[in-house]
Amino acid sequence: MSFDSTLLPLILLSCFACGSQDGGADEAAMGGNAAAQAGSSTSMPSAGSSSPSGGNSGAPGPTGSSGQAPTSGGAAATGVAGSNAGGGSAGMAGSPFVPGGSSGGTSLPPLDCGVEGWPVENHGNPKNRVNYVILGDGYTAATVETTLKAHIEAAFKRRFDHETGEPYGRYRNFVNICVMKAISQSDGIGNGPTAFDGGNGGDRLAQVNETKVNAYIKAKVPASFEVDWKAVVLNQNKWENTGSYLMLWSGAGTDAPGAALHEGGHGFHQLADEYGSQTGCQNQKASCGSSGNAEAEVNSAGNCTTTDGKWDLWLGTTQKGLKVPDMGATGVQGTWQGSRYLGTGQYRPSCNSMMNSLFGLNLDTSFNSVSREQIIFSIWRAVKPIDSTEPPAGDATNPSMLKVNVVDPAVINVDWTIDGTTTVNGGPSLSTAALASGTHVISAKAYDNASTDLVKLRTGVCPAAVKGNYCHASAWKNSVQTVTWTISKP
Amino acid sequence: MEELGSDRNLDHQQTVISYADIPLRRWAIALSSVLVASAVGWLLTPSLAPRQPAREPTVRTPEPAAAPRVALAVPPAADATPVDFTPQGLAIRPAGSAAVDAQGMVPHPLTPQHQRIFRENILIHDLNGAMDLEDGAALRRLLKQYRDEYPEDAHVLQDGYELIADCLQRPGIEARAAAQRYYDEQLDSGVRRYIRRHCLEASHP
Repeated sequence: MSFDSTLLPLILLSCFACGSQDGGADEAAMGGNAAAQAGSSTSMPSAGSSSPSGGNSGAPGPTGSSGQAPTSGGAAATGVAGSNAGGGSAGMAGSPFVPGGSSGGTSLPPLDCGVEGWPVENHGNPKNRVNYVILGDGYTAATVETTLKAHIEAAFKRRFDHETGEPYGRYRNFVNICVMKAISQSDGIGNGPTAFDGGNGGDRLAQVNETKVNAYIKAKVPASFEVDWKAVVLNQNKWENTGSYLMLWSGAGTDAPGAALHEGGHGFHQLADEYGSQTGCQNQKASCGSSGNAEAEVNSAGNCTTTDGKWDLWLGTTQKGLKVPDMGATGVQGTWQGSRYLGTGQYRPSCNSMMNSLFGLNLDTSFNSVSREQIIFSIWRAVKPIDSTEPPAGDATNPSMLKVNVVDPAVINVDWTIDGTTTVNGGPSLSTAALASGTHVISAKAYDNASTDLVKLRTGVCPAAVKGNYCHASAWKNSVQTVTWTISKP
Repeated sequence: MEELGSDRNLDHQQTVISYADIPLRRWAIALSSVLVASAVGWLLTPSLAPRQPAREPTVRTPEPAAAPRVALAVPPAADATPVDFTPQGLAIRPAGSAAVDAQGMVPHPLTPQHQRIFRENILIHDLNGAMDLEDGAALRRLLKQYRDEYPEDAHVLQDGYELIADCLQRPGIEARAAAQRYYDEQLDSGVRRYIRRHCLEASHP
């Protein structure tokens, strides 16, 4: 058989049309945060307006509740009012990316990204945030202000505004981001000298001079910004990206924002590629066949019955979307044959996903449940729920109010216990006005309100089956933090 | 937008496989993938013919690599056409395919370089897990493996993990001082936070 190559342009053209349709359908999926914002206000009723029942000393009430923990994947938690003051327009279809800048509705000190740094996302003290630094390569003094900005905005619009970027939207206030406007002599990769010698690393890999990258970070990124996550965005539209510890993505091109998410899945969350002898879903059905090795990555399993203890809790569940309205994500979680470059003997948790086929804006190219859980664990490795308390925990004499400043009141609930009586989800502050004279022990337990649609493995213990290989689940223990005061009232 | 060299050699390397080398079946598989993704399968009804040694006609001729670059807004369609395939015959997304609909294409081949990258990711995954559990012995065991396999340690992670193991297993003035030096000097390290947490702020004696 011979193939008439003149058909190819026509075929490709038709594919572009398909892509447009996909994108159009997903525009709807990008909207909806406004609803979440309206529905999850953290404004507080007056102090002491709701007393917990059964208080043994006329116990006062917490100053207001931020609402019950969402029952479905944190739908109410994305883009809550005040949580992303700078990003309020997030989720509006067609709207530009707006940098996030104020956590919890309060003004924050500026994020110090250094002289050449652009604080794209400032959500609080770097000591209690994941700190993500991105260096531009192949951008001149002029194009760091134009092209680099465009590449970053495209990547972050996808990251925060679209379902496929979740759970980064829900946990937006947990990650600070500095973009470094490193200036190259030449505009574009491959056109002459660049700051970090970016170029082709072979076989679709991008590469940079890591020594130069690290020297630059040492010299230009402030010591206060404890770097957790490093990346370089290259000014080129080639399909060259690298999911290494130093993550690289090519910033131009329609799939660049997806590449940034996918490579981050490798580089920062240590997720595996979920394709085997084919990519995407291909109408494949969940199945169980031959077994293979139990590899370390959490999203690939050799045993389709046990999932090597990795996602057995997810089997048979249907992933909920985190945007409002919930339009779903990767669908049923199960075992699909083909993962980690093998057609058989390795299984992936969903038919399609961000770690399988990242192309386009289809909802089924979201991170699946297993990957989202892993991403959340990775974030909790670095962050703890409480930034500070007022007054400091410990002994306090007649404070009028106790307050816990949490990373994001939309994501973190606070239970208050007064002399043994607990009020669930009582809000971040507590009035002591109604407390009787005497000494009282009051504790505040702050915790991630993620529902079991988002996090199932809540023990903080790696499943027995993966002992020895370790897992990210142990970081979940950081998602709960309790502080205690002993207060004396005259 | 990246300028495209007039040599059409998008990855700046010698073309690995010329069109003339591609067996007929690989062409058919690649085009079938594109067709499925585009939902216009009616345009073509390919039969995945048995692999034949017959070769497709060459559709482009490599030009001199040193030719001057020409700025193009969009790469020509021909450069979005796969020229590499997996052993299973799947099309691998072309390097210069910014505008291609890549549904069904494999994002990259699996090379020793890819495997080395992912292997390092796994080691870091395990090291972080051991660190979370404050398992100093496991940290050292994994660290030895990491040092053996990745002696270059471009990101100075290994010294950091070792210091954390020291702080967990042999806390004291010496370990703390070394940790403080690391924290103050290795500003590019991704484990500074954990040096602070496990060494500088820990309540070890």
